Amino acid sequence: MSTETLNLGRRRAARSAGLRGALAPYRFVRRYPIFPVVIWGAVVLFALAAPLIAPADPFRQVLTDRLLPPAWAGGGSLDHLLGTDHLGRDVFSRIVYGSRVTVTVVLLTVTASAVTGTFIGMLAGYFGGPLDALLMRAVDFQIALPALLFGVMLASVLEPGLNNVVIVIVLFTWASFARLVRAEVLSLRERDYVLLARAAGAGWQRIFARHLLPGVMNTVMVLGSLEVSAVIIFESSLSFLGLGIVPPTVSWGAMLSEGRESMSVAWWLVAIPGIAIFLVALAGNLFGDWLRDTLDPHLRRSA
Amino acid sequence: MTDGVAMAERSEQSAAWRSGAGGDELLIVRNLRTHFFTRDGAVPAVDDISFSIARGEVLGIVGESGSGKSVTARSIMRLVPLPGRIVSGEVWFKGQNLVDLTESEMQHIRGAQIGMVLQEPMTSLNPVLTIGDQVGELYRHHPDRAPRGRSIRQAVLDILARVRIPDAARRVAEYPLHFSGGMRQRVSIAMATACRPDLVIADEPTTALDVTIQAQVLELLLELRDEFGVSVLFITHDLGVVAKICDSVAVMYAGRIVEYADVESIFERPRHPYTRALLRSLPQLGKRLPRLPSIEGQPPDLGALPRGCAFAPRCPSAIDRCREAEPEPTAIGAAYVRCFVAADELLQAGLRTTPRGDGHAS
Repeated sequence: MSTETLNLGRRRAARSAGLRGALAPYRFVRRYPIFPVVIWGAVVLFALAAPLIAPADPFRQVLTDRLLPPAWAGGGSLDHLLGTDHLGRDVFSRIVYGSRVTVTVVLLTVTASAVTGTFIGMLAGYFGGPLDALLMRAVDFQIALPALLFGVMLASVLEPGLNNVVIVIVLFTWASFARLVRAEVLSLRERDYVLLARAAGAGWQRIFARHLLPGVMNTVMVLGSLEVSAVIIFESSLSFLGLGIVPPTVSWGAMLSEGRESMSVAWWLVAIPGIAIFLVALAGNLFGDWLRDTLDPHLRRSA
Repeated sequence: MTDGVAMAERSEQSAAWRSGAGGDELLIVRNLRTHFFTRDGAVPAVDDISFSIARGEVLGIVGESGSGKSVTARSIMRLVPLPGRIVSGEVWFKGQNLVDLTESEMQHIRGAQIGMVLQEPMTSLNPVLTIGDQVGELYRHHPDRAPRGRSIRQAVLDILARVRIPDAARRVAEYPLHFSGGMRQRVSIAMATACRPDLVIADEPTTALDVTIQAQVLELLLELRDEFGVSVLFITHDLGVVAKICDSVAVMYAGRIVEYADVESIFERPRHPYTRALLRSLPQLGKRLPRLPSIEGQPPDLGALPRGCAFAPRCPSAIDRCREAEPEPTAIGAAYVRCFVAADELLQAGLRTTPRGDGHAS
């Protein structure tokens, strides 16, 4: 029996070695966040160097060049790589400039909601009792609200524009940070070293900064990168509804909205910003997954 | 029982034990009650306990798991975890009642005047901070307690050298994972004593260590006591350790101190049936037994204590009264025992100095 199982084991090992070789490129892509880095690298580059990259002025209207299709489609030309819109503006240049809004909104909202959410979650988890009950009911309330409906309402009360988009989005994302951080802190605060820090005379501010924050950092970073895609979609939705970023500022969501009118004759006007939104959102999700796997030692071993 | 005369002589000794230390009490705990308010009602984790510690004294609190030892320690520190709360009682420390202090006043006492060491060296240090950072934290919280004319780093090196961490200058920059259990416990002791506190509360500091390391850590604690006159509240369930280092002992059962006396009395003339049973269950060198005696039954559920004495259901000497009423402490000098049967024995021996039910010795 022992030799048989040994042989079987060897054969299986040999087969899986071959499989491993064949899967090498796949494993490489899985191990490193190639796709997110490429997409986000491009988006950030677009945002920082938009005037250098964009082949045309994104606002210049050339009415003779209206609704030109992308370069690869019939009737397209390399002058307008991704075609032109109903006012004859270069779509590629507009995508490049639109990335500025995306990057700004993502940076501001994710940072602001991570910071407020983390702090509120720490307060609730560490102090417990009535404060916890109060803060967590606020979180429940926030999560139970239909974000888009309420966002539309808020955005129409406030004036459309970048600042208010950021405020509305932060109002709807801090709660998930708070909830997750609270759960983490509930276990961290029971650690002996936290008790000993208190026994050493540390106040709560010190305990938050020295003992709790390092412990929740991983979680916050993973959630932050996952929230990136939600934020992008939220911003695009608001802009699409005309309640977010308004013309003349270029945003992908607003491009979608404008393109909708000519959709039947110029598919690219909705397809291209749609694909851009899809790609950066996907990249955010994939990066979040990768970060979670990398930071979690349990998953790392099996990967 | 044993003859009355012999008991009388010894009892005078135990009375002398407290009155000798009487003038210099560092910590006096009086009728302390800490209850946990759960959904199923209040759980008396610590119920009406009283004891005191003189300067330089080592008091051992013994008892099985869940008897309220750690809650006692955390009540003194005012670090009772939720949903627990100190319900009543006093904790007098250097002339102030800690129960009445505000949280920020307590922060000046914790770490500076009362240090704490916990059981598990593997979890009592923060894994992401260096040893030097963690010990130095004490001086950052209590700058007035840092040695004059020394930088924090120098002070940290001094204290690490004193708890005999070899090569301290190199090791301050290392993380807890580089340290063995025994070394970590030394670091914990360094942290607990860095500010030269008057009292160190050690909550089972040797339970998680192997025997040789245990001995070294105990040695170290005693040395620090001799050197600085620190008092130690030593929580353990190891009676061997108690015999080795304690001056006095409080035996806890189900949240109460059932017997409180100097260490010789506890080991030579235990009065409470529970103390006697504990001592009987100790293995003895040179004595062969078919089976080590153990205490029948289970410790009671604190949420549903039986009427009368909490130990009565397991007690070999229980009488009817034990199941009806709860015994109050019977004083023998400064020592006391909470047991009707023991009180009767004392009465027979002509030893009871206060009528039963007359509250505490103090």
